[in-house]
Amino acid sequence: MAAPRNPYNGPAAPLPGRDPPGVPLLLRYALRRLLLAVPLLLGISVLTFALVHLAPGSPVGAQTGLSMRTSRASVEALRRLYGLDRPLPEQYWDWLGRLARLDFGDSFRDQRPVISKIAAALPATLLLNGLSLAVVFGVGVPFGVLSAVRPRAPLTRAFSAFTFAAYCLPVFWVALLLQVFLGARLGLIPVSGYLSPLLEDAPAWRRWADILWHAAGPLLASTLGAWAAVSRYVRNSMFEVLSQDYIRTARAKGLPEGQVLRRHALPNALLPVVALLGLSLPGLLSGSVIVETIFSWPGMGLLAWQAATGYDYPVILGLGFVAAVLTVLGNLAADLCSAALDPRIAVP
Amino acid sequence: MSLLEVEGLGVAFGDAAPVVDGVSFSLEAGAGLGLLGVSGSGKSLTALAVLGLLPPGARAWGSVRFDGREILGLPGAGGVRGSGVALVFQEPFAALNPLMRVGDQVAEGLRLHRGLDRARALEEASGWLERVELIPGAEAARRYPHQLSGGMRQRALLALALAPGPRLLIADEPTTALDAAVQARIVGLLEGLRREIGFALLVISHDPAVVHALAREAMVMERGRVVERGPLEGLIRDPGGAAARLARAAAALA
Ligand SMILES: Nc1ncnc2c1ncn2[C@@H]1O[C@H](COP(=O)(O)OP(=O)(O)O)[C@@H](O)[C@H]1O
Ligand SMILES: [Mg+2]
Repeated sequence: MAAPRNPYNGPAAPLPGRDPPGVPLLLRYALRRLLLAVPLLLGISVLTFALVHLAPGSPVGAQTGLSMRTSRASVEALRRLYGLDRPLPEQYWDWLGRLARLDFGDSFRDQRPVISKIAAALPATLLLNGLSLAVVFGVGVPFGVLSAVRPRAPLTRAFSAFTFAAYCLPVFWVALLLQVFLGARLGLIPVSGYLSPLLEDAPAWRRWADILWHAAGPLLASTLGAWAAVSRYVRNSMFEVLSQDYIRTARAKGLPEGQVLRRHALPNALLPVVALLGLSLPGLLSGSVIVETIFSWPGMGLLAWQAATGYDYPVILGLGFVAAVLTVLGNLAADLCSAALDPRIAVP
Repeated sequence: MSLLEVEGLGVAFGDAAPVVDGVSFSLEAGAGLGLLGVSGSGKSLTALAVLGLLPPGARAWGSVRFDGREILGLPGAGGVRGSGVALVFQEPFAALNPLMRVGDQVAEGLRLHRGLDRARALEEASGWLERVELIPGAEAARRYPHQLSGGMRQRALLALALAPGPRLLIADEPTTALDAAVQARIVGLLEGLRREIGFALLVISHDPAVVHALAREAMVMERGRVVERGPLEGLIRDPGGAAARLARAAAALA
């Protein structure tokens, strides 16, 4: 470089990227993402439609196992529901209309509308999965941070050892162990169910307390294994961030280490964790099948198990569609959280 | 009493041979000093050791006195970070927190060292951004780092470093990551601010031209040791010397 003997000391170039007027950038991003969800939902409708039609033989044909268990009347009902004798495009258009009205037909088992069965099971599943997410991240994030900042502390080591052991065990086995030892032997938690029958008329807080109490088993079973994964993930993310230059800038400023961690390191370290949250939703929903079945938790997972073992075709399809939509919505929510945290996503 | 006195400073990673060894220098209030050396000669580690910001696994020994007080090994380097000694690093792209508005990052130091409330600190931060020619300052304060070019970020980092009023600025390769035209302007800006405010400056570079624009005195490091020191003009004139070799290398690249 030439010696800057006569430095030009004029003003810097103009600032780029003024905020455009009108709709706030984050809202703009949310609308854009919402529009992108539309083709995704259409894709799901095609997939579920294909499930009906690509299954070996016809869903009501003699060569499927289905026909052995279903009555003549329900075969007729299915045929009417899916309009199997009409041309494919017409059938798909019909299917779309029914999805829009959330009309998945009636259950083979009790002839109740599928959507009302799902609606009855949805709150229990949302509650359990919401609590699971809160517990997994509520425990995993602080311990991940702790093990990045104090890797040699006894508490960190004990937690890592315990969670890693839990991580290696299959969920159904942990669930059975909890049920047998904490539930049946020690009587510390209810063995199964959602709400004690005696409490159905009790005041609301009493019922809620009982529901949460019943949730302890399924909650522990579904989250124990995830603690290790999440805390390890957070720890690695934190390690990565702590070696960044902007952390050195924050320290060079004279900020106390606590503020460096809280204001500069943690928000950056949480970005990939929020993305992980979105990705973990399908796993949560499918994990519900095992845990809800073992603990007789009356959610979508238990319903799916009953439907699958009972060849309850309309219920299975309805559940598949609702689970897919929930996953899309959950991912959308996670993406919006990411955009709210990270200006690089929505601010051009 | 000098503002900064460094004596027999050494840095090593684990049991490996020292990467900084026996470095001594002193800096009077308001004075300028250049630190020259090829890449890997230990310049950055010397600067980081002064403020106790060495990467994990490194240990330092010797003596670092700021204002007559020993600060080497003190937690938070004895409270001189930011208010007594400020640092500007080589890499402006990674040196700002991507999630925080530029104004807030400048204001943070003002709140910390001058006890200003949020609104007052932001206002003063905007003023500082304007002083480093990010105009209008209030607009620049609202920007996120990814919205600024490399030169603009380096200016913002200068504002961030100088806003709390440090008595010494250590600028570690402040222009190396920028292209030549922007380099010259950043050097010019730094020179102007120094004339105006009068902080002491330790400027680190592999390029004698950059040092020459900002300091009369310089020292040259090679493999962790200081091998030459004195007025830069004189050092460059000795054709067999380390400084002259650096000048030739820099000229060959330009
Ligand atoms: N984190 C680290 N671990 C091991 N060695 C390092 C580390 N950082 C720097 N070094 C070594 O220390 C020496 C001096 O580095 P540095 O002070 O960054 O040089 P420079 O003069 O280019 O600023 C280099 O040879 C480098 O290999
Ligand atoms: Mg360096």
